[in-house]
Amino acid sequence: MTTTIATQLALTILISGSLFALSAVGFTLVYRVTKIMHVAHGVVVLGSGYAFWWALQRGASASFAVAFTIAVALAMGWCIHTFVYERLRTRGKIAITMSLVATVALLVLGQNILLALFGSSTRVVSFSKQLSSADIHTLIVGVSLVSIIFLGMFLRWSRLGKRMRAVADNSIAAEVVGIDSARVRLSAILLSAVMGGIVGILYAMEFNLDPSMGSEIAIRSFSRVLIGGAGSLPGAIFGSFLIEGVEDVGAFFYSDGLKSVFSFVIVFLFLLLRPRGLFGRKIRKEDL
Amino acid sequence: MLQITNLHAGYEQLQILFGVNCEAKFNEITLLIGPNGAGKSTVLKSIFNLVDIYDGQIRVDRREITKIPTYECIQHGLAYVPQGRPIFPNLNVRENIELGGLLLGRSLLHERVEYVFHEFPVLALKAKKPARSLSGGQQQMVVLARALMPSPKLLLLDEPSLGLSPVMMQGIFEKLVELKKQGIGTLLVEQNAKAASAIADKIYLLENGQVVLSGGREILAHEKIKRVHLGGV
Amino acid sequence: MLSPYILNLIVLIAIYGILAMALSFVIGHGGVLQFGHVALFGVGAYASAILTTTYSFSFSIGFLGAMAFGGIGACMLGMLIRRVRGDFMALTTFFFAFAFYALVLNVPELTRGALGIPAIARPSIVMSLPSYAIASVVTLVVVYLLLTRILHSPFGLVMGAMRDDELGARVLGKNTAHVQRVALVLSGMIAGLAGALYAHYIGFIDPSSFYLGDLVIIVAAVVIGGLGSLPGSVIGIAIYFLIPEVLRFINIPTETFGAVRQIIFITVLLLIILVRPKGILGKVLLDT
Repeated sequence: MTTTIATQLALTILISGSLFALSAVGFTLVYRVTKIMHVAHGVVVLGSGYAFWWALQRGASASFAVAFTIAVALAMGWCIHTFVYERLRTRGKIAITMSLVATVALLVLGQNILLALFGSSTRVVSFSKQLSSADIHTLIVGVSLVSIIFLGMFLRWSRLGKRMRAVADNSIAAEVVGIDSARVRLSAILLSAVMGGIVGILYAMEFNLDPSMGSEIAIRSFSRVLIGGAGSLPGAIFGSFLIEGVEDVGAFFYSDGLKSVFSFVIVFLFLLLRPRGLFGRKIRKEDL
Repeated sequence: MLQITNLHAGYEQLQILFGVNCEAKFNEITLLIGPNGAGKSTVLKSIFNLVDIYDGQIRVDRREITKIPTYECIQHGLAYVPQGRPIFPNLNVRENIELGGLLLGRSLLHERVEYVFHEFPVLALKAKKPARSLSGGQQQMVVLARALMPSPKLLLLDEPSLGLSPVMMQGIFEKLVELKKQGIGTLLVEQNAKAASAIADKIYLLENGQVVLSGGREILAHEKIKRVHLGGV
Repeated sequence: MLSPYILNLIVLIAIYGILAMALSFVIGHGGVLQFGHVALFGVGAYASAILTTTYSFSFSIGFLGAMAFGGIGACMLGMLIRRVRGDFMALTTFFFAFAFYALVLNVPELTRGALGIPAIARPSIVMSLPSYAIASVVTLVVVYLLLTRILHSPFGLVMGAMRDDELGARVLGKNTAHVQRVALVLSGMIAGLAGALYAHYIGFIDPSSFYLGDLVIIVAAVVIGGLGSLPGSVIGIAIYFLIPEVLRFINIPTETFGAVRQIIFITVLLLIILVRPKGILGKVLLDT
């Protein structure tokens, strides 16, 4: 009896954990390269989920729906970057407070646009004919983990990946050495948008869509990032599973609603005692 | 030759340079000295468009490069090493150095990395280590090595001796002389005028954003310099 | 005299105007990135509602309780942000708002969770709409005068110095931590008061009035009105409540009304951030 509950719990942690790990990773990539707390990532994810649902609704095949969703995600990322984020920079430096207000504003704006377009009732993507629940779960875990690994390798070995890491470390030195940091920033947001699109698709398959989920997704991704350490990719992943564990175990023993309260308590504890998270570097005066 | 004509530059409202004229030949070591706040670093930053340029021209061999985007500057044979050893801390030494050779094709890249490791053997030993784990002197070597990757004609160095021991500083200066023999000139900004002047072919004294004195090493005998910069250490 | 419709607008503009001024006080003048403000509004509303309905205390106790709890909430928030700066401070306060929402939702014994608290009575002296309108406007003016007085006092000068250069202010011997705390608590008490005014006006409160959307609106009003200007914040709020007047002339399906209004206001916010960050009447720019 207890083993089945334990496995059930472990599965939930694995599934939600990997999904939100991918989301947290997408956010972290943007934060490291552009220094912007990309809260609006939540709406890229949610918007993608809706795009996926909408395409399927219109009778598109699964593969077309996926391609369409990724295109929509890229478009969202491009717009956010070009019309807002890049315009908040003077000489490469970013206005921190304003960028935070702007990114949260984008999140709420996006949610309201989704609300206006799709209404407030919940939307469900149903694959029950083609895929069993177990299939979907495997897909989620598999795709998320493969994506994360791919990203890791990309950043480590590819030319663009190294440039992203250079810009993340010191964007002025990167420019001096010949790296067009504006293009690198754009690439980072687009890459993160693709990941957000993937998360959106997987999310739509497993959970229900409603416009207010954007902020939930943002907050949940966020807590994981903060706990893991805001600049750290492995931290984001570890943080995700850790928080997921806390939330699900807590939900099991207490009540589902208190789920988020638990993670908030942990986040606050970290912010109070160890603001840089588990793997983050000491927060210094970064070279913006 | 790098030519700066009538340069007026600063940070937004704050003007630092008021009509600076100077030249740096590719086969020479040119030294910029002057008190703190005189604008020496600003001159280098202007070349790479890192500050606001209000007026004036910057030319490389007659080609005008004033205000071109920072990342395009290396295409004109210039390599800039800003103050403070700006390594990429989370990348390893080899990756740091390789990033200097973005314009190079694969085989040329390998060649240059070999050349650089030959010039700085210590770095070859530490190739796989994250750059932030190196000592100050070694980090300075990393940024210098990185700057040398694209076979520049002129190095722009901003106070390379800062925070280094006298021995290390001497080492850097000797390196610059070696590089001059290889055909790589340097435009050097230094606080420590005395040590740097030993290797300089041309010296400019900057005060309050203007060139007040220039010439070969003979100007070291000038009252101004002796009094202010060479007195003491 | 004035129609109920206009009186209603006046009350809402007054209440949210008070809330916005409190926020402007703390951000625009004190430089504290307080994105959890809406939680203090909620604390006040719930405190007064619970005290007067569940516990049948008098209205005076209700209002005083609202202010007290608002202050206490601000105090707790102050402790949370003591160790963090810049965007992390903003993030922490942001989480605070979410934590409050999660808490209210999940402590139904006290707050009735998502159902909200109905039948909140009005004090008899302000039972009628016109009288409530007068009372709200009077409170608005009193709060304005109070805050202005404080801003012109030595305390206010230290706040300004703190906003512009916190380290510099500390070096000069000003106890910035103390000033920050006091400013926060004061803004919390005012927010609590606004909450009580809100609760007894609408007669019904539920968690959804104190969440992300409202937070962004209040911050937007402060930024649009201009940082560093108290009247500016009230103007920002007025603009928000007057948008429906503009929408009358455009054919918008009623279900999307709310969403469209948010979309318009947030777009204005983004335009202001990108084009004229000082806002309408603002004198101050953060991030310098």
